[in-house]
Amino acid sequence: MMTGNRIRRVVVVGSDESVWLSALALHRGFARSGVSIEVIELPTLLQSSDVCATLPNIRNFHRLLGLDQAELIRHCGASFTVGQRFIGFAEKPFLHVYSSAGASMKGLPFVQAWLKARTEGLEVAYEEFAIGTGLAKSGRFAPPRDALEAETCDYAYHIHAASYAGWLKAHALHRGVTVSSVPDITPQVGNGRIEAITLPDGQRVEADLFVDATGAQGKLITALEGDDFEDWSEWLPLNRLLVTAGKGLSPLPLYAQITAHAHGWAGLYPHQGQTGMVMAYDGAALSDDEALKALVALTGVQPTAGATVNAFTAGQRRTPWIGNCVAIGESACVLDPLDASRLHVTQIGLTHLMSLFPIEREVMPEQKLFNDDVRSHYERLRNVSVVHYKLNQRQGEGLWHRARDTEVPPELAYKLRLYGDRGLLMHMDHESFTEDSWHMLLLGQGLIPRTYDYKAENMFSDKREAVHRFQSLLGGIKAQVMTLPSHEQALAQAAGVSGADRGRNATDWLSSAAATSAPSEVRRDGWLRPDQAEVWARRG
Amino acid sequence: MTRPLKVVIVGGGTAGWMCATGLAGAVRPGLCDVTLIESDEIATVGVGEATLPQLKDFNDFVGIDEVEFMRNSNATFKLGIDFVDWGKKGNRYMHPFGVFGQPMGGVAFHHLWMKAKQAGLEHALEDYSYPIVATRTNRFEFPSEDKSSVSAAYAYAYHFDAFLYVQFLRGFTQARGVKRQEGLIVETNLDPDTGYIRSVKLASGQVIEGDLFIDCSGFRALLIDKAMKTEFEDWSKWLPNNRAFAVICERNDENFTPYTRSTAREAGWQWRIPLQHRTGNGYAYSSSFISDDEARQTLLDNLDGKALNDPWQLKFVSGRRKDCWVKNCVAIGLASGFLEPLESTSIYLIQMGVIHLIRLLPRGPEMEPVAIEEYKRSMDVEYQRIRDFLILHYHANERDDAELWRYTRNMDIPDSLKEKIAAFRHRGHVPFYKDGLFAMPSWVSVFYGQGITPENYDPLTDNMELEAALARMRDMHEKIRTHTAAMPSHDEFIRGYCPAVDTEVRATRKAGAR
Repeated sequence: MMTGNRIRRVVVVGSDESVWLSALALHRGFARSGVSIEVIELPTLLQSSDVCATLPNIRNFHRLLGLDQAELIRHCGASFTVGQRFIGFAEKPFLHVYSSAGASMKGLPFVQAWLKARTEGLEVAYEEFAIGTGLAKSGRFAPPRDALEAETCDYAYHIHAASYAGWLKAHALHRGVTVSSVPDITPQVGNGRIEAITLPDGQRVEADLFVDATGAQGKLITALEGDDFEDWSEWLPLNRLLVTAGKGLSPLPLYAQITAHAHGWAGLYPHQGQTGMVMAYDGAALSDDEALKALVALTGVQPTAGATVNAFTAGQRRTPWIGNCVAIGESACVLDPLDASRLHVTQIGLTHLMSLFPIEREVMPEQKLFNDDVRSHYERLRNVSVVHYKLNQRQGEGLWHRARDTEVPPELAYKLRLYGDRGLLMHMDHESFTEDSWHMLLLGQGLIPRTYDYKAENMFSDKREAVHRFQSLLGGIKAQVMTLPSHEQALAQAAGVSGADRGRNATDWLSSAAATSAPSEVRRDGWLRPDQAEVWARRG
Repeated sequence: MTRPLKVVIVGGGTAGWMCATGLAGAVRPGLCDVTLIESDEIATVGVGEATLPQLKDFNDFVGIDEVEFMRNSNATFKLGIDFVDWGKKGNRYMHPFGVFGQPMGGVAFHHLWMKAKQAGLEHALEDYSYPIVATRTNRFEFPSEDKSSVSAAYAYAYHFDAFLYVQFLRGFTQARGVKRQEGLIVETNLDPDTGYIRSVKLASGQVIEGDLFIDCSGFRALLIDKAMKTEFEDWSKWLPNNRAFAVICERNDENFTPYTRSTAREAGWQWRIPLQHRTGNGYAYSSSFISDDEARQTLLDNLDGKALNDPWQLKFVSGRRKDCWVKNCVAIGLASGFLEPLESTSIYLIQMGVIHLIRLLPRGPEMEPVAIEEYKRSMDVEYQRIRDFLILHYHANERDDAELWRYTRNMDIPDSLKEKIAAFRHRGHVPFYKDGLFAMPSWVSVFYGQGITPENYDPLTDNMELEAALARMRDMHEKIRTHTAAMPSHDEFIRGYCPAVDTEVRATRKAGAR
C-alpha cells in the first residue's frame, strides 16, 4: 500500500508562530511514520508589542499538538479572553462573547425565544444571556471543569506573540524538528513545483513538500505558476496596521476592546504584563502619526513602547496549495484583525493539511480537496468581519458610509437578508464561529429580525412565565459568576495546573483533527441547568 | 397578524397528512387555519414503506406516541438495508443506521481497519458495526442511553403500512383542529394580477380559498405543475428506473428481519419490507430494459411467502421540480420530485419539506422572497445529496449480465460524485457536511459494498501504535458480539412492545382502488 513514493521530507519556511505551529503539527502527525520535518527560519517579523489574539478553537489545536495551558500562561504572558467588546460600530456598544447564550426552549434556538420575548417587552440584550458577558463584566473567571462546561463557556487567550513564538520553537526543537536560521531564501521552481530552495550560502534544500509560512509575502507560493491573489479590500477596506503597547491593566480585563474611528478602529488586548494596542486604518485618510494619536485618544492608554506600522491588503490566495507547496497563515489569507481571526487562519490551514497530508510525492490529488475546503473556510471567516463594516451605524464618515453601501459577497448578503427577515441563521459547513457568535454579532450590529419562527408563539403560556424564564436565566448566570475567582487568581491557579485544559478524552489526543477548525457543537443545555429539567420532562 | 394564515393542503396521502400533522403540532391554534382536501376516489400510493431514523424525530416533534403509532400501522423496526447482488452478483452488504467502530487518534475507523487488516486482523469492517451484527441473527432492542456503550452506536427506523400510517395521522391530526374536506379538485383559480392561487374549486362546486396552498397531490402535481407550470428537472439519465410492481406476501417466520432488503435484478431491484403480519415487496425497474410482464413475473418468482394480491403497477420519473415553492404554492412529496426508494428517502424528503415549511411559514398572505429562496435552497441540498448517493449504487458495479448495469457503469455521472469517488479511492476520504443526508458511515458502507476500496489509508493512521489499536479493536469486536448476542429477537421485541391492533391487508384494497 505505502510505496517508496511516499513523502519523506517536509521543509517549512518562514518565521514566528506560523512556522513553529506548522512544524509542531506536522511533526506530531507524521514524524512517527518516518517523515522528517525541517524548518528554514527567516528573521522574525514580530515586535515586543505584538499580541496574538486567539479564538477558542486554539485550545483544541494546542491539545492536538500536546501543548500545555499552564506553560502557555507561565511562559507567554497569556491571559484569558471570553470575547470582544465593540464600541462605536452600532448605536450601542456590544459584546461578542464565545459562550453560548441562554438555553433552547421547546426545541427552538434560544434566539427565537429571545425575539418572541422582545415583542413582549424584554429589553435585555441577547449577549446578556451568555455567561461570557457576566464574566467579562465582573472580571471573574475559571476555566471550565469539563467538556460540557467548556462547550457552554468557551474562551481563548491573548498571548505575547514573541514569547509564544519562542515557546513553540523550543517545543519543536525539543521534539526533534531541525532548524536552520537564514536571512532569506530563493525558491527554485520547475515543473510547477518548488524543486528546492537556495540559502544565501548557496546551499540547496530539497523536499517532497514545502510549507510556505513566510507571511503575506508568500515567498514560495508566489513563485509558482497559478498563484492568484484575490483582493478583499472592497469589503475589508483598511490597509495599515499600527502596533504598540501600554502597561498592564489591573484588574486585568477578560476581553478585548475594539473602538471604531472615523478612519478605522482601535483595539486593546490586555494580557499579563502589558496591553497590546492596535490601530487599523485607511492610510489614504490617516497618517501614521495621526493614527497613533487617534489610538491614544480613543483608548486612553499611553504607549510604553515604540510603534511599528505595517501595510496590509486583505485577501486570499485562490490556490493556497500549488504543486508541492502549501501556503499556511498569512501567505494564504490576510484578514483585517478585527475579529481576532488571524491565528485561526493558520490553524485552519494546518488542520486541513494534517487530514489531507499527501500520500505520494509525485501526484497530490489532495490539493483540490484542500483548496476547496480551505478557501471556503477563509471566505466564511472573512464574512464575519465584513459584517462589522456592512452593518455599521456610524454617520457622516466616508469610510463607514462606503462600507454600508458596498455590495457584500452574495452568500453574506443572503445570510443578512434571511436573518433580517426572521432571525434564521444560515450556518454553513466550514464556519469558524458558532451560531451564537453570529447572533451576538448580528444583533449587536443592530440587525434585529423583522419577525421570528411561528413555533415561538407557543413558547410561553403568558407574559409572566416569559419574564420568569428570562429572569431565572440571568439569575443563574449571576449566581454562577459570583462563585468564581478573579481573572488574576484564575491565571495563577491555571498556571500551576499542568494539563488543566483537558475537557475531552485525554487518550484521544487527536480527537477529530479535521474538526478542530470548526466550532464545537454547542450544547445549550449544559451550563444553565434550570432548563434541562424541562428538556428531559418533555421527552418523558 | 390580524387573522390566521389560511393554509390549504391539496391531497391526502402521506405527504398531505404529514404536512397537516406538522402544522397542527408546531403552530399554535389561531395562527394558522389548516384545511386538507382529499378524495376517497383517489388511492394513496400505499406500499409497505421503509423509513430512515429521522422519522422518529418528526414523530417526537409533533407528539406521536411510538407504541400507538407502531401498533396502528403494523410497524416493525429497521436497522439498515441489506443489499444483495449489488456491485456484482453474489455480493452482499449492509448499509446500517450506525457507525463502524470508533475513531482513534483523530482517524476515522475504516482507516484503522485497513491498516489492521494488513497486519492480520481477522474481522471484516462490518463486524465493527453493532447494528449489522445484530441483524445477522434478526435481533432488536433500543440503543443504549449510555453514550459510551457499544450498544449506543446506532439508530433505528421503521417499516410500516403506509396506508395505515396515513389513517393514523388523519385521526391524530383531526383531533388537533385540522379540517378534512372531502372532494375532487376540478379547477384552480389564479389571481390575474399576481398569479397567486386564490382558490380551488371542487367537483361539488364548492370553492376553497387560501393564503398558502400546499400541493401534496402526488405525481399529478395538480397545483405546482398544472396550475403554476413549473419545470421538472429529469434525472432519469442517471436513475433510469421508471416503473415498479408491488405485491404483498405472507410473512416468512423464518426470516422476520429488522432490516429492508434490496436485491439487484437484471433491470432494477427488488425490495422486501417486513411488516408485522405480511411482507411488502416490489420490483423497481426501467422500462427500457425489461417488459412489464417480465418484471411482474420476476417479482412473483422471487417472493419468500405466498402472494396475497395481484401485483399493482406504479409509474414514475426520477427528478425534481426546479421551483418547489412558487408564489403561494409549495409542493411537498411526490408533487415536488421523486427519487426512487432505494435508500428509503421518500418519507424523509416529505419530512424535510414539512420541517422547512414550518420554519419558513409566511407571517401573512404576502410571501417573503427570502423565505422562498431559503426553502428551495434547503430542499436543493437534500435532493442533491441523495441523488449522488443513489447514483453511486448504480454506477459502481461490475455486473456484465444485463444492459442496465452496463449502461449505468458507463454513464457520465455528476462531477460532485466523481470527486467523491476519486477521493475515496485514493485515500478513503469522505467529505464532511453539516446539512443533508448520509454521513461518513453511509458512504463508507456503500463505497466498500459496491466495490470501491481505498488504495491508501490516511497517513495519520501510522501515528498510532498498532498493537494498542489492535487490542482496542479486538475488545470492541468482543463487546459487540456479546452485547448483540444478549439482545431479544426482533419478533420477540415487537410482540412485547407494539403488537399490531389490526392484521387486515390494507394495501390490497388500495391495489383494487388503483
